[in-house]
Amino acid sequence: MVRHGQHNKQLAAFVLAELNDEQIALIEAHLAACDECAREAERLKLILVCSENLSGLSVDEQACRSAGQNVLRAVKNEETTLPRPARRIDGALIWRTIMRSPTTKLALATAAVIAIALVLISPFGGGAVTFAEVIQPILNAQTVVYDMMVGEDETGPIIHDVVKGSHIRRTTVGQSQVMVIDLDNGRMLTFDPESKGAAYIDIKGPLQEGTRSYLGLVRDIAVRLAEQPDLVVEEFGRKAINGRQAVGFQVSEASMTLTIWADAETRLPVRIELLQGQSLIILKNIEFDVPVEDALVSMDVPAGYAVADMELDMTKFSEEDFVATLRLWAELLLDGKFPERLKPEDLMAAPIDIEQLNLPPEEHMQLGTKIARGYMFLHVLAHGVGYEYAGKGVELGDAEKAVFWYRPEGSETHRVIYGDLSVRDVMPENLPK
Amino acid sequence: MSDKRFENLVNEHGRQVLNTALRVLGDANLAHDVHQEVFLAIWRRWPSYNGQINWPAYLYRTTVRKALDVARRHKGSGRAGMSEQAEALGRPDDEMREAELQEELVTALAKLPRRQADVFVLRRLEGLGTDEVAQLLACSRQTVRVHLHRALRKLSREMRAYLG
Repeated sequence: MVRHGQHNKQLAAFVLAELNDEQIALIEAHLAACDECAREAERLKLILVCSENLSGLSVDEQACRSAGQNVLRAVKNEETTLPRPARRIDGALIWRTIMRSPTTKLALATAAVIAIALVLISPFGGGAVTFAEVIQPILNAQTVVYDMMVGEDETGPIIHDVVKGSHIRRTTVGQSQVMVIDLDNGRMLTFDPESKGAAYIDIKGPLQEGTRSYLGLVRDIAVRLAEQPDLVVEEFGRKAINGRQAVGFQVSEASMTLTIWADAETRLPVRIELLQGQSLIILKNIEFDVPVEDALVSMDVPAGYAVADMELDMTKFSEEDFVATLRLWAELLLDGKFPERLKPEDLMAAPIDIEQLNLPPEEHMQLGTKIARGYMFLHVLAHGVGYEYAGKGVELGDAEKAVFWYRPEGSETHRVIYGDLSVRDVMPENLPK
Repeated sequence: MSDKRFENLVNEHGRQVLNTALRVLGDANLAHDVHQEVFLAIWRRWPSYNGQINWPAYLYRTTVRKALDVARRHKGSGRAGMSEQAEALGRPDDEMREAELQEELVTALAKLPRRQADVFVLRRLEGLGTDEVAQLLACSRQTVRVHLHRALRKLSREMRAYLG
């Protein structure tokens, strides 16, 4: 089966000769049929050829000698006051001392972070702003407010978090729904000021991924890294962020890279980037220790809301939920047509407004849950077996046109959803071309 | 550390610094400037070194950073680039096209996020292996691969207007 999206993503690996024979054969077959990918592959190859040509450049002996002499001459001419040699601090001794002291978990983490700064493998003695200073507010602030987005291009939905202790109030720009997450008890209150519906949800299964504390993730990483006394923290350089000079620090381990940019004067983090595998999370517009009223992060349902009297289970999402979501999307958002493309982030960015249905609050909440489950179904497919979408231009009700198909793991047939939202099992050779 | 050791450092590693800068910038004069900046910066903090520096690794990282900073400062500013030099020397059209392409690549490289640029330069311009780059940048092999893939796709987007 030819999957455009998946093959497109593999083009870099293809031109870098990182694929196996089977993958190469699939990609080459796809390139023969897809102009867009064929052009992209050509561009990538040209870039590689160009870089190879650049890599062949080298200096001759004369230029090398001349450059060296110029440096030594410049050094002799410079008026330099040599500072006293920096005292070399035995970081390992300090670490052992800290670890023997009885202390609370947070104080230990803070002390350990200071130990990191003392054993920085940097020849420059730490500079004006240190990693230890920068990480302090992340570890110690009682409240934190920030915006979170996913991806380098920062064009996706913006999630706004207000964190107080183990509670997070989470909203998404452009959507009315509010979530209050209680991390200690693994529960979430979700309510909608527009529909006045509310529900409690247990955070379990795939839902944990979507309700994690991003700041907590950064904190956990900092604490874990603190347990590695020989950790290398790289000073990353400086750049302007929001009109202020910021100093960057970067630390990596396994498949994770954490970059923290801090205001050069206040030492407060202003931007945090967490790269885990292929996923980049960005925290920005960060504020520490702002006053946050308890009511804002309370797990009590606000007055005047109708609470669903059943616990909503977000873990059992199904194809049926997804089909219902597709129907609503086509009916309510697109006037009876299927969307031009279908990615999980599209569903997040253009939420289906079920307000138009004028449902009673409990039904409203149940339908909202169905849509959320439909999103989860698509999200899991996108990160798993993959899917094909061909709904662009198809009208809702067109029984002849296949709009969506995927192959469940272990199945010989594909599940195909048609324009009238009927679903059939289809053998691979009978799939739409 | 003595002055003699600094002099040895310049003599032993100067070529590496110059070559790296040249491959990133494609311009011998700018590479020379980077070479001087790198070593003068080291000299100014010479007394604070603890004698346990992995100089080749440190110099790779520093040179790539400085060269990319220079590339950013010079992008689109009509720097004495490869294509102008090729034209001035009366080189044939295909050499000029190659020079133009290299200029475009360097300009696009300067726009990459730092980590992606580091990985692209070390892997593709310096020819270092994935393991070597992972060690230099203190990250995993997988992270190096991901950065390289992303760098390539981003360069393609940046150069689309030129490459078609």
